[in-house]
Amino acid sequence: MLLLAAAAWAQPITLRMETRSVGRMEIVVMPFRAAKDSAFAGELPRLLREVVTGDLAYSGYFNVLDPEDLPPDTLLQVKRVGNKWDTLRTFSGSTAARVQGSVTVAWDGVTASIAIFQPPIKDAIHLKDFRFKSDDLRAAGHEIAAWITKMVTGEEGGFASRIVFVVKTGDSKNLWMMDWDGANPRSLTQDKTLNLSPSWAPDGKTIYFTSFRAGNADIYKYNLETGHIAPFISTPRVDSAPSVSADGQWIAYSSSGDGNPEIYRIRADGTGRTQLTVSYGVDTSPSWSPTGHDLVFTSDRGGTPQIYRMDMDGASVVRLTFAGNYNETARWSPRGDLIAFASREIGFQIFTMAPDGSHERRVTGEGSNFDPSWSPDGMKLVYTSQAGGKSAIWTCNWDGSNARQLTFGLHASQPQWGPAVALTDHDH
Amino acid sequence: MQRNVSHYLLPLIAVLVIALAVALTGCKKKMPKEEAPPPAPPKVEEVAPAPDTTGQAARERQAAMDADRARIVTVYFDYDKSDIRADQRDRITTDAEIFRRWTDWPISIEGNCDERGTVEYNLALGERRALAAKQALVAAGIDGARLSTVSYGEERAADPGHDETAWAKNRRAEFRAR
Repeated sequence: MLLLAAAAWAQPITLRMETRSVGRMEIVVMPFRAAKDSAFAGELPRLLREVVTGDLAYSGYFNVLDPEDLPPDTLLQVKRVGNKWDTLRTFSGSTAARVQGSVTVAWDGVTASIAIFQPPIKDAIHLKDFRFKSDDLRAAGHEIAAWITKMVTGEEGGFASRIVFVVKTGDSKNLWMMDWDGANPRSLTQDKTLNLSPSWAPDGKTIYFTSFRAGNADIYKYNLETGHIAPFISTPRVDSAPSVSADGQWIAYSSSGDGNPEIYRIRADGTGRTQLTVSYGVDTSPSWSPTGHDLVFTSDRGGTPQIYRMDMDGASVVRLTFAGNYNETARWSPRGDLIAFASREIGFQIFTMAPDGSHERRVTGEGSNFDPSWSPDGMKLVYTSQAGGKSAIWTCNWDGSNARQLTFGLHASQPQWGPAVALTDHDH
Repeated sequence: MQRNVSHYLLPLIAVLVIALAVALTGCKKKMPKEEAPPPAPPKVEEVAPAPDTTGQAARERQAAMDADRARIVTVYFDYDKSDIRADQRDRITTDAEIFRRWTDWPISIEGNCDERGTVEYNLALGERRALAAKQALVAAGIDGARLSTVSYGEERAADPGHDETAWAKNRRAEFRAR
């Protein structure tokens, strides 16, 4: 299974789509227990396992099985011996791994020793200690789930990532951030103005966004470490819709500095400004391909807003959408294989298509759903939904399954999924 | 002695006050002349500056400005369009007349959209509407240097409704004169 996944990852874009149709792997997460030499661990092992299994189940890669849930014929060798679960020796065909966790609580923090077994190999194939303060249990759980996913599938799960989004209060809009699962929502800006269209730099420390703080739409940079906000693009006209390339080198954006909204790109250091589109209509909402060679964007040059693709010099322009008369906010998947966009009939619905415009596929169903953004591994989408009347942030798998509401009680929109936070030490 | 001084100081002070008043009203009158002379200056401007009615003239001018400011009309657009509709050209003419009269007004043109469409697209569309209104005013003889544009996209609805009646009111360019 591990080899298969790794081989698929190395294939070119067109074949990579196949990895999306591979069924979910079954993974068994045994109850985490307190280590023998641990101080009183209380509910900590159970709570930690809950975060881990929640992430794994929601990742789109796994079916998470409790030992109790397994049909007896698939796991004949699992049996309770006293208070312990005996070693798992027989797996059903699709079962990929079994996870065990042992938690040690000490005066200076918690250590969770996580082991991954892939029978028939008897010994753990991956083993890692995670040290954290008990207050950071959720973050530690996300990190453990990301590590398990990486070890078993080779994929960077999005569990340690964050989502930035926009919250409307009265006439003001401010940037907020939350963990990938909707936990810890908090505001980044608290202005009596409009802050819109956030876009992450790949370092996970900088967010570019559109703001009216100087009276009209300009582009600013938010430094997450210092909270400092600096102007980036500022003309007397509209400067908006920033999109950072995967290598962080270029920022594409829309500006009507020359009298008409066109797409430009500029280096992160403010040099190399290049105009990419020249058309009479509106050109906006650029999004980079993961290689940085191409961009998709919205243009109404053909009479209605449609999705177009061009190379990074503005050449080789191709119209991608033809169905419907209103297609907007295209976002290129980090895997390169799909482009998500919002298409309007009565309300909006989110669709995906291949980079050549083929294989259009509807992802969302009820209500109005728009502002799609990909998870760092390209397996999930986060988006704005008005399914419940009020505008809220939702997420679902790339194929629309597993839809889940992430924000509650906030008028939220324009989510952007941040980069996966790099794991420092992958294995022992 | 004391009486003597005040005797010829008083007329001097009176002359100074009148001169100051004339100078002040003169200044106010000159400011608009920096640009093209208005074709139909309002009557207020023609009132001769009499020393005792200076405050009165300023008040009347202010009242005329306020009245004209209240007469400024909004221009409306078709769905997903940014060209000035035939039925909206009279509104541009009305506004252009007002703006010609008050040549010292800087004018901000605010482009807006209905709530349909995305935030980013509507920001760009609102900008095109503001620019279209600006072009029309320039064509009607208003100095482009007086006109600035801003787009609020779908963020500043005039009507909070969610139907065509509300949307039609929200697809607009508004003019703010300071």
